[in-house]
Amino acid sequence: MAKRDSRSLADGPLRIRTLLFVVAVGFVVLLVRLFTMQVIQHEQYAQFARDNQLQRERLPGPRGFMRDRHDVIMVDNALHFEVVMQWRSRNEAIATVRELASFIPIDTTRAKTRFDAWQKRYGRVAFPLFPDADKFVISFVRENWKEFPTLRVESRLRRRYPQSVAAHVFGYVGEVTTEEITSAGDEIYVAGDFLGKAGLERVYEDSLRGTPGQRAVEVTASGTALGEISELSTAPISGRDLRLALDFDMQQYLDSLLAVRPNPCAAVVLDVETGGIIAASSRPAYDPNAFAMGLSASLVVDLLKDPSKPMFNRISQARYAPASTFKIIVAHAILTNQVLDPNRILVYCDGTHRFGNRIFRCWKEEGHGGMNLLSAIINSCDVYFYRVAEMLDVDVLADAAHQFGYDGKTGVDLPIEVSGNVPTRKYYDQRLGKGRWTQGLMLNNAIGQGEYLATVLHVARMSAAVANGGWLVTPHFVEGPMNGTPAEHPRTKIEGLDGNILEFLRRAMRGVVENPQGTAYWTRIPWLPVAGKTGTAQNPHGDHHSWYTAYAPADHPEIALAIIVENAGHGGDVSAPIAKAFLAEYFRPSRLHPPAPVDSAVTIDTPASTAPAKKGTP
Amino acid sequence: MRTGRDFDWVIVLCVACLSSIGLAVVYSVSQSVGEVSAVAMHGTHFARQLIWLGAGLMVMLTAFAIPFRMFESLAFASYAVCLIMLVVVLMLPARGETQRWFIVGPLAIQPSEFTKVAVILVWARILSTHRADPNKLHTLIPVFILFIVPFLLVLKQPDLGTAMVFAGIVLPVLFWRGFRGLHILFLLSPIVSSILIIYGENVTHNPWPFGIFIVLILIVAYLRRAFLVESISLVVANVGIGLFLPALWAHLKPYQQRRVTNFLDPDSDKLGAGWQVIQSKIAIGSGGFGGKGYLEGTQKALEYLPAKHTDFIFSVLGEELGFVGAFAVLVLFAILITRALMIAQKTKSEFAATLCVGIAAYFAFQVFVNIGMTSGIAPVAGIPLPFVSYGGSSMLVSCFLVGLLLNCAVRWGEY
Repeated sequence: MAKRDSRSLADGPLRIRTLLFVVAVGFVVLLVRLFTMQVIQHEQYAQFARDNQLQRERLPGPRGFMRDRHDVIMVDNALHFEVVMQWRSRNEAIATVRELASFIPIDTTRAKTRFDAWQKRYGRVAFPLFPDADKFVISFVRENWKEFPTLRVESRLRRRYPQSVAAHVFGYVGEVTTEEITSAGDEIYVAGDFLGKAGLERVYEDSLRGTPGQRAVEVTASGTALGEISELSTAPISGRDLRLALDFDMQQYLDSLLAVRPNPCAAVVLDVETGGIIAASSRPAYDPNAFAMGLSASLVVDLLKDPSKPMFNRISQARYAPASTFKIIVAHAILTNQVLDPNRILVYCDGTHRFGNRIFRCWKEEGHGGMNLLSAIINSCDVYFYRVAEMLDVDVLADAAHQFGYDGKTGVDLPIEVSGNVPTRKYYDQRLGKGRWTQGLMLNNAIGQGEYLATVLHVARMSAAVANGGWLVTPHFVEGPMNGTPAEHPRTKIEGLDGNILEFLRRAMRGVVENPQGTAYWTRIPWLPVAGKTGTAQNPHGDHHSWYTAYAPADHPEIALAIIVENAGHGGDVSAPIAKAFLAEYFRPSRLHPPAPVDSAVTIDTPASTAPAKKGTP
Repeated sequence: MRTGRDFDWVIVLCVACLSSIGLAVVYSVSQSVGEVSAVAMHGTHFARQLIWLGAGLMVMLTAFAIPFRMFESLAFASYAVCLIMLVVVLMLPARGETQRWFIVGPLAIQPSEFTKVAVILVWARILSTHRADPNKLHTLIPVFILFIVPFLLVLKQPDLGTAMVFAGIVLPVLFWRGFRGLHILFLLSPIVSSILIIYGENVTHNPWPFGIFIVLILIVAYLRRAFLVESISLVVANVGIGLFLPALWAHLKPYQQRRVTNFLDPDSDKLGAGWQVIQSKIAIGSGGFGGKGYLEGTQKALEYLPAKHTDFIFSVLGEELGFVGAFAVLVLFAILITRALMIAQKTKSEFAATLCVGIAAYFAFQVFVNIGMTSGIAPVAGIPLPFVSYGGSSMLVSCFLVGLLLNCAVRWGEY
């Protein structure tokens, strides 16, 4: 057999040492690696291992409800079912969908696209194959669980607006965005959560939002749940239910009154004492339930493309020239500053007023004849106010408008609100230059046509202030949490709006409706004293906007309202009759004092869909 | 020459310890959730491993008792038998995606495992002859042919990991027989270059490691006092790979590229190939210094570890017994390999010495790749951990090789 030759013998030990060295290096590398993983980075891997075996299922906390002043449910959550698919690989998932397609009609291509998007976004999270499963799909999945073990039916809560009114007020909820998750901080939201995106849903997000619970389940790698770990599981907590100042019946009635108008319009009705909003409407509108499932792209495009802008909330976002409704504030400025004697016949209105070389016209071409302040308001005589404007300092009027809050926001609990506009001396100096403007600007301001701007909320609040004895209230939809102390809604006193001045303004507004010369005389209600003021906002782009503001009953005021109908003509012609219909319904004795129910127990547990019992005067 | 003094008790003790640890871990694995159905079908892995160990002891005894000269003369015959088995197994219908096993009743025999023994025997035989000189083509060509045939057959299964074991054995054996270091550099450097280029282009997007490697080759060539021609051809070969490989790479289909990058970088495919490695690393890392305790591994119990009783058994060991257990296993293997190399040096038979180096190389390569793979520093290859992993073929082959080691140790004076 082979003999060892001398060459090999000579460097054999060296070669063995080399091999031993290589082996030693290999073992040292392995040892260093293991030491790093098991001793130095141990904590990190231990955490991975804990996360691995625990599946924390987030149990979303139900969102709070909203109820109107008579407990009618305006916003709640509806249970709906979805079929989700647990999956391990894309191929396996697609195969399941294909197999399923022979039993249930599925658009497999669309399902694939959705699956890929889902996988990209959420990774191995169970895929909602049927996000809105019908009875057929649910029963199929339940009956065929052996053939399709990866499918399961899950229940979810979806936001619902059972009354389908006031979409602009309630807003909608939508899936949380990455920015919202980070800006909220403290891990309040996780991807897939819904939160208020607009309207009250957004403003009261913190109250309405439920506190999520979690179910900790020990799972194997294939997703088989071994059991719940109760120490790590917590129950979800519902968000707070909110009480609205809204009166659903009256809201619906106001909507129906405005809905018959083809023009865009807005109206708001306030409780004069608290500022609680009894009804508010913005037309055109949309169904609030449209967004309950999150935004559907085509629907949004439709709504945004619609030239009548149904998404636009005219209650708090649209500002108009207040027109003749503003004469109440001008009168307040005259009286508090004693600019002139209100009883004096200041002008003889022949339909025109000359200022410098310009002619200003009264709305009534043939003129009103001799006018004092009271008759000028009742007749809404522009010439009288032109004359007053010549004597009225810019800042005096601006201060009065400031008192009525026209220079700011009303503080209504909606996420987007525009402030009114009040031109001051400073404002004109900045815009037009010092000394480069004249008192002539005041002529338009005095009839509410100049630089003054207001929303229906500003105007309704003005009437409320006259009605309640001079208090500027904060309009609000939400009174506070159900079964809790109502939230504070601050109100401020308007300087000088009391005593004789208050009496005068009340008499003037009442005269608008009750005096045969009044611009709203034809809309009076024989059994209900109403005080109001019409307005006709000249619109450079089209027909005049029709304004009307009122409060009632004039002797013991309860509610105040403001209505604007765009491009509709004179306030007395269009808006005032709407107000008349609303007030007549609101104060209808059989509505306020319904016959006592035969069995009073019935009213205790009224389902949301049926009409609730009325509880007397709101 | 056979005396009790020459019987290598240390090796026997190492093997006994490793097999016991292996049995204990296989038992632990059989306690986990997914094992219940398997038990109903075949009995526990533990019981079966116990039987394999018994069979392995008999094989070891046989390999020990028969003088190694007999194996030397049987080398080519066994090699031929293994090649036939490798061809036959390829012709059988595929089991899943691979064709690796003969199914005989309840047994699954993996011919590629036995081929490892056969190649060690044939290489030891032809490299230990008088005229053999690993630096000459008349020796290198037969060695290469004996290497490439089983390599390609196993690659066809496909089982790249096992095929690589042949390479991992042949190089140390050649080196031991006097192969010049520079030649090893010639063989290894293109492989390293290819890996560095593909890794650099597709994973780290960093070309510098390749550049540093070329400089290193130059330094080594200078230190080894290589001829100018050798140095130039070495650098040209590696730079040539650097130039042509990217072009070749671009010609591969995306799924082929992915297969390579997944092999080099399991993290790129977290749910596929990377899943095993990530879960294995979590298991080992979470074990910590002292381990979670025997039978207490959560990664194991909850089925996060794939192939946890075979190729990834070290993950369970690392999880339950911690760094202490892993360290013990490494030390046992280190002793075994060192003893094998010491026998190689002591024995007077050229064949026996080469055989022992081959066996040492076999154990070293299996241990490095297996533990490297479970701890995430070596690519995933279906290579079991000798004596510890569950599996009959691996157990019989390891026992047989240890038997040969003991054989050589006892007959160290024989030629």
